[in-house]
Amino acid sequence: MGPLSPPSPLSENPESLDPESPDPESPEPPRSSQLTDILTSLRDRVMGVSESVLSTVDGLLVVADADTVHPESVAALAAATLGVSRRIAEQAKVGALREVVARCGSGYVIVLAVGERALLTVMGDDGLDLAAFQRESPATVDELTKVLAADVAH
Amino acid sequence: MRAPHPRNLPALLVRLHEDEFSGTVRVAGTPGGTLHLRDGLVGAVETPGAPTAASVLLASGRIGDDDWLAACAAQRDEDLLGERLVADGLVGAAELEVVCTAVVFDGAFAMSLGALGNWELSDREPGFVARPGVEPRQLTDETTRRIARLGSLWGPASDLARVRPVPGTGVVEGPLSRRHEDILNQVNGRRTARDIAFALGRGLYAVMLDLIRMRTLGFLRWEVPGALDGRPSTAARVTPGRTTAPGPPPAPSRTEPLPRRVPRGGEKGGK
Repeated sequence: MGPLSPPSPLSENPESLDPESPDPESPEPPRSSQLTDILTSLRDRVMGVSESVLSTVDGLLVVADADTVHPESVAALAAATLGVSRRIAEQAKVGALREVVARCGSGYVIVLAVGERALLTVMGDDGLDLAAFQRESPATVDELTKVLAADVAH
Repeated sequence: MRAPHPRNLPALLVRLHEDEFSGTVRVAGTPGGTLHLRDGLVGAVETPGAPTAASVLLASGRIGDDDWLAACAAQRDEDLLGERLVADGLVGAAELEVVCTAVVFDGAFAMSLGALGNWELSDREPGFVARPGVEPRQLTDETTRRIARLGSLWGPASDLARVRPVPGTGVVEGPLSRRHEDILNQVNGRRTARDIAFALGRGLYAVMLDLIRMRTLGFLRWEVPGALDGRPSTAARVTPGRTTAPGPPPAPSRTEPLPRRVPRGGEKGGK
């Protein structure tokens, strides 16, 4: 597959996908909206999904379908969460990590890998339809992976 | 184990009531759900479509998280959790009964808004159940009444379940009731009635009634979302806001109702 990610975490690639990018002339917005549409569609299809954040594996925000959370913070924490969880899965010898599900007092936070270069963090309420999420998330990850695959060419 | 005879979920529940069945009925569908039966009565309905009793008690702030976890640790059998909460003085016995019974009706109503698939019966699993529970026929009748009521006040309940209201542009005159204020604080064009119900720890049906009322008062507005997957919706064609004639209430069936034809219902409007 060749090199998958730009060498520097401060590369312009993820930055240009950021909806708050200072460069209004960027040719990227169509693809950003394409990514946001995929996130919005997940919220439509799975009952209880409230927000989601797509980030790079090194913790930079790509796009977010956010409401109350601070997307940049979630992006950074998602990278740490997945990294630590992979290590504990390795320690526990329970196979490769599929996703991280944090079950909390009034909802869920789920972090899953999107290919090898991105992460998806999904926040849901107490009634999140986990079965529907398990059914729908592979397709969402697949769609996101396909759109993000174009990043390699830039 | 699959029940071969009953044609639909209400019929199944009636039969299980006659058999005084204690156990669990899992219903596939979107969203589907799980019903806990005790001696033939429906004690709890768990569905992603409406808050459970635990969600209502916690999200509404009636019981704190720490107290809840302590009670769960002290009472391992979830069936007896309610008694534990009352014994600990966290909630009154009458209040608990009201909450638990209300969420049974609310859960059944929420399940009826989506398509229901096959069901599966299994042995009793611990559940946070209402005592003594709700008689299935009463549950079906109430669900039918709710759908008819929403139909007469606004339109198809399944459409109302999909709307994502935004604050209205009208000026709010006079003090807003606490309930309406709470809803207004949640409304942002992203949340459905179900999302608001979960956020506030209130019933889905109650929130829907409030949404309709608040829209009439001009506090809220919304557009009915387009059909899913770009296909035409098969829901009953009722113009939002129009009061329908009190026809026969739609049965809480496992399928969506067929389109209702209305005079001059065509796009052009010409004769």
